[in-house]
Amino acid sequence: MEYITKLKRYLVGFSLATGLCFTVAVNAADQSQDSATTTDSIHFHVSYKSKVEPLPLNRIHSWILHVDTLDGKPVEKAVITVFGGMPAHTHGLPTEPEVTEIGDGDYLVEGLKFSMTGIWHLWFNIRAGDVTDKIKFDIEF
Amino acid sequence: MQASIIGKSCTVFWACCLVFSCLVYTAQAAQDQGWSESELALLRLQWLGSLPELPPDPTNKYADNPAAAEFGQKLFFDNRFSANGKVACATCHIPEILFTDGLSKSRGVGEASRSAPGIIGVAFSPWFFWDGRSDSLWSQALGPLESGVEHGGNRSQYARIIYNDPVYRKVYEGLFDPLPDLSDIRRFPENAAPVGDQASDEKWHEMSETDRKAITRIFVNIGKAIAAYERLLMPGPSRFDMYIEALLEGEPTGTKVLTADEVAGLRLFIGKAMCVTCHQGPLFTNHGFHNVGAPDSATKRPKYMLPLFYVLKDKPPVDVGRFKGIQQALESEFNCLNEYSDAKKEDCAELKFANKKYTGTLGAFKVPTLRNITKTAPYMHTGQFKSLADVLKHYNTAPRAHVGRNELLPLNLKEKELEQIEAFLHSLSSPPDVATELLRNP
Repeated sequence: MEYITKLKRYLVGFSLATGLCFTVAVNAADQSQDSATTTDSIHFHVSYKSKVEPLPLNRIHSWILHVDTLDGKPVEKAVITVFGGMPAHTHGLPTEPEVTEIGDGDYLVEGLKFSMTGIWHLWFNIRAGDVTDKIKFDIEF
Repeated sequence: MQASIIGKSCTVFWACCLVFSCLVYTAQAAQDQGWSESELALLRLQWLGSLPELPPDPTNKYADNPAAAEFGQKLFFDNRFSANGKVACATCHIPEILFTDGLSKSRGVGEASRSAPGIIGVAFSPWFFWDGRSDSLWSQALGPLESGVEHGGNRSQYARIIYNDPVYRKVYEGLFDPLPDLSDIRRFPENAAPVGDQASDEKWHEMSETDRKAITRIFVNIGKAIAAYERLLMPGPSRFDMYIEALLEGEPTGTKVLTADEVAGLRLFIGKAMCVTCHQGPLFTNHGFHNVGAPDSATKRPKYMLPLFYVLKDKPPVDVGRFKGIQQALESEFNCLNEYSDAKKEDCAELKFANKKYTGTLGAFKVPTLRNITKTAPYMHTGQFKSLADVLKHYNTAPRAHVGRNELLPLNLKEKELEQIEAFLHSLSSPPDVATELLRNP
């Protein structure tokens, strides 16, 4: 009887350990929000990749933002501004990120910082020629 | 050969059993306490064992120099560095009460406008002062030294103390650079500084730029030595940390270090009460700035005064907190980008990208650590609340901010739940993890 109880414990432990590993992997994938994470607006197809993965909490870091047209051509010479915040706490970003163009539709976003746990909304206002559009990413810590 | 393989297989088998046993007991201990895996992951982040190595301070090349720290400790306790010879850093940062002073508004040569925060673990923060008007620990140390109500002295006076003290002079010149010849009073007046009264200011501007920089460099090195000492003041493990350690190591008996009410308080802290959103990480602070609608004691209407008279009364300016603090940091002659900083331009990201807009900074103050919070009353930047019960009551109702917008949402917790959070906060007390000889005047 005691043997069965012990066996049960091992099984519970094994399941929890496997579950934990799985959860950690899923969370890491969620947080890294790599280039597979894209958002479409009316005019653009946008993806980002953080230079630090998984996304760090409470640390200044940079992203590479990639902007394509909906038919897959890189958008160049766009003017991009960043804004956002935590809707649940009605406050904005703790930093003022800056965006500079790298080339081939890539843009360097410097000075990003997520200082609290919870849901953040990060908006990119993209103006390319006569076209202006907004893209939102939801980030959760 | 076969025996060796069997032996190795047995070793692998027992190793697997050991790993599984650990996992079982960890999961068991956490389950017994009713923590989910995600809660346990969050609790681990709050555990002192998760505190990373102290990051380097690129603005201060002496930051981790033991000789500088030793010198800094002497300066920290030295009363001569004040206008009346009675005020040292340790006057308001008293080691016996965890480097606080127990006052709502600290007292140096006069009364300061805010409360002195504790400095244990402060070196982990990118910003200093309640409003973050300094972006390095050494530049923070210089602020009170030249404040008219704190130390009340000036940089020329302090440079002269080091020059005239043979022991200090030898240590200083061994660490930094040879001191200029300060015996020439016409070239180096005794009380010349860009702060304080008009006479000091005039004398300061009569000095050559080279001499002004020489004095300022000595002043800066004083700050850098004090910062090197302050970087050694690390927090020690509390009952909360023992509890988390017991959970992580799967020792159910070890978790008895917290009472049922304290555990319930911890559950609220990371859950319904949302305290952990800002008091996050092993120091229980995100080092950020938030408007929590703390009442402004300076502009509060006294109970005896009718509202009409209060409206007509002359009032002190409203304390806008971080909104002004960031402007001061950007203008400071001692910020990360300035010539007295040892940092490269790329090391100054916090200053470069800091939020300067009024939204998010107006009425916002730095999130303090909650470690030892029950021993460091009163609370908030001007000690507006005398007890933790008052603080929790404030958070529970989230009143309108007197300036800017209160980021808090009403918690609507029951009386019992507030008591449980307070009980939990008691588990965060611990002596600092600092050698005894660092806690006294050397």
